[in-house]
Amino acid sequence: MGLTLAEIGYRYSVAAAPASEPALAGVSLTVERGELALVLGATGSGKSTLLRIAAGLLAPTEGTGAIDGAPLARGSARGVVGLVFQDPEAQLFAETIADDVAFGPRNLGATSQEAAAAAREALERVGLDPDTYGGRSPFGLSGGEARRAAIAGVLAMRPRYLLLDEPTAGLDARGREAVRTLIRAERERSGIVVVSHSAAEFLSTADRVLLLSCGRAAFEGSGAELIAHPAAFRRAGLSAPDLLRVQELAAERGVALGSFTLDPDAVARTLAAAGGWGR
Amino acid sequence: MSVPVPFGQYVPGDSPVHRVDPRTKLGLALAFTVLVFSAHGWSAMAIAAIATLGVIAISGVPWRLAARGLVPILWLLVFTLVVNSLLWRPASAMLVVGPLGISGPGLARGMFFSSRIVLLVMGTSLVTLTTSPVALTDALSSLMRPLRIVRVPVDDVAMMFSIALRFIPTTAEEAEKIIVAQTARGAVFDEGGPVARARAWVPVLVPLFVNLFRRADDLAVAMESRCYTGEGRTRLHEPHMRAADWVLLVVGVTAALAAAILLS
Amino acid sequence: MIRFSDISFSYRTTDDSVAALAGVSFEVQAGEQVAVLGANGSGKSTLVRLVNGLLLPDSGAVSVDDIDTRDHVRTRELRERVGMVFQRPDDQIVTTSVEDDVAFGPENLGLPRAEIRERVDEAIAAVGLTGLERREPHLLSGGQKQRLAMAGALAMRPAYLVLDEPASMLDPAGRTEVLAIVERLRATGTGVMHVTHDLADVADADRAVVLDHGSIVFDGAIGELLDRADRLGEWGLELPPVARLAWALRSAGAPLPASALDAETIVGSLWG
Repeated sequence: MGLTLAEIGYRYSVAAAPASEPALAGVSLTVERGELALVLGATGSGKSTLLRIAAGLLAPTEGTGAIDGAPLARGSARGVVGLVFQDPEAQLFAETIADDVAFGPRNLGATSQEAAAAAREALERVGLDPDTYGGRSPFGLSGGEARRAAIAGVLAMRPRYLLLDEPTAGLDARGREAVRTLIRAERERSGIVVVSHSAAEFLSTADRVLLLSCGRAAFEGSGAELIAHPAAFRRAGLSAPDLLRVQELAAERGVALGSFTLDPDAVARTLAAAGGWGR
Repeated sequence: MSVPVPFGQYVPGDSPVHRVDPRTKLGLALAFTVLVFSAHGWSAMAIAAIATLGVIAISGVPWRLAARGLVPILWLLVFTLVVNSLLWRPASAMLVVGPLGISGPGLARGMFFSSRIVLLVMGTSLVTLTTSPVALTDALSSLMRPLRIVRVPVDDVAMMFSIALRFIPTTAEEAEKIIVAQTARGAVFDEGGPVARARAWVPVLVPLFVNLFRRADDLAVAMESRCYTGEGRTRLHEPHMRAADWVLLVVGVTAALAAAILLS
Repeated sequence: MIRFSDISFSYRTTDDSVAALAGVSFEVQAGEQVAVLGANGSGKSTLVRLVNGLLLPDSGAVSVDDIDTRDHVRTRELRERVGMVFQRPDDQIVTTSVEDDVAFGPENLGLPRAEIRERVDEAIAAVGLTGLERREPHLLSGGQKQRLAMAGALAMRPAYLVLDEPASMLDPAGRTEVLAIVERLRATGTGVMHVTHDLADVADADRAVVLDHGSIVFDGAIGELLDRADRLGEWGLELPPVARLAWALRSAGAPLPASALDAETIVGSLWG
């Protein structure tokens, strides 16, 4: 069960780029309902391609995928897998936010009433009160609100698996917190895959982490495993989060640390204790 | 990532043909067109053909690409050939098939007119094949300069063309992203009758246009911040005619006109 | 110096008036790097457009090296003094090649070709795009595009550079490229006003000004700001994890200088 991708490979058409490396090779990813999988990697590492394959928008040139046991083929994931693209605000088009959020359900065959109800529910789930926001134009929203309205447009289709490409990019602190909150809430009802280039935000809560580098898996494991071995970041051409780097360097100098963590206060306590400071 | 190339034709290169000033090329293309249109005999046509093939060879543009412009008009060439063969001087038909006959003079006439079309297309497309869109717009705006006398805002128009060219690939990328995003929400673009299909594009066109307006605003702000007023601009790259360009222009036009007059 | 004197500004629509800034006063001295921080909606983008006269204040005055932004006659002079870099890289690039776009500003100033060439080459080198002069902009990465926008501003040889969230739409690699150029500007004596919501971008600034709902709520050294971890949330800002660590260690009495905000410096200061 779950959303499984096994040994996925993807190569752009030979005519377009004959001598280039494949975009993806031998990548596997599994996420069950209730889990959060985090895909990390630099630009060009293949993360977005992987998401599109998982959403059934692209067919892999190698490997297989399955959603809850059923084979994943191009187009078969409609309504089952919801994909939120980067800067999803670009897809907002309707006269009212409610209409826009209802677009997805309507396309899947829902009646106007069913779609309107799904839209209401989705808006509530992203923290936008349907009575306040439903009748407004999607074009007057702030960055964070527009982001959440676009996510609602995908949630309204009630997908079992939710894929998010850089969901917090470009938002300020409040906006990012709002998106993180809604991801935490959605986790209870769907399997979630988050693609991000900022590891620190989601690493502590991720059940599984996949680190991509040039289309290949440079690390696969749990969030805790990656936190404990920050060197894996560098192998993938990324920098480890600063907080992990501090712990790495301190450990190199012989400071007694427990297992690494991404909680700044906990790290502070440990280092303070080791250094003999503290009140 | 594959992105549509504006005007679809320019083949970058450094041949002598590429290096000729675009204005000379435009002038020569005009003279060439006059020659081909006024030719009444095969000798003039032959000269035009030799000139065209010669320039293509010197330019280094692959023949396949040079001939690409003929593909959309293939139907016209065949049509011309067939209609002339069947309907011109039917009395002297060589081959008769039922009520229709192919006449010798008709076939010849058909071939003549088809050749004229072929030469026109290939000869003039040499301009766009060997001149970058930017150089072409610069040349056109410089040719438009005399229009300033009748208060045409030539520099502003040239700037508009330049900006439009700059944003064609960017806008194409954005359109693709929006199409994919709406497809992921279940939108389909290739079903239903014409009305349904037109309506299906609304979720793509609306955001695209909203974005374009915002972008235009932001670009205007950026341009104003760099002191753009539309007036008093100098240029880093000013296309200027070298002696060779003038000579080529004069000689080419003279030769073409002479051939047109003498050989028709 | 860039000076804001008791600025107020409201956006007026047909039936409403939204106050974006009220009673804002501060300065950016020549050669100083000032971070202007605030959440979205705090008025920081309005402030940016007030600097070079794109917007005029309802009350109060904005001046750059004593040229008031209301002085129409000297607008061009003012815009030569202060260069602007905005958030979206694509929406600042005007034409179809890197060098032509960098030349756009000097061309607008009516400079002779030789001088334009000199400035273009200098600006392209300053942002590390040498070798890409003939490249078409849509083939550049996000970081390269934003560096191109910076080169376009630098070709005007401004005394001050105002950056409005220059890195917010970039990936980490692009962000690093852009911030590196800002750091290099220090050596040239160019004053910098870096507007952003991300504290991690401006850890090296000399001074920080925080905007909250249109008013200034902090104006002081960056180190002082980082010690106010408690208030940042109120102002819609977030302390980067490593800055929070540094603050917590300092609060516990560790001898950590306020300027220590990266892993190497923190560990180096405490454990050598």
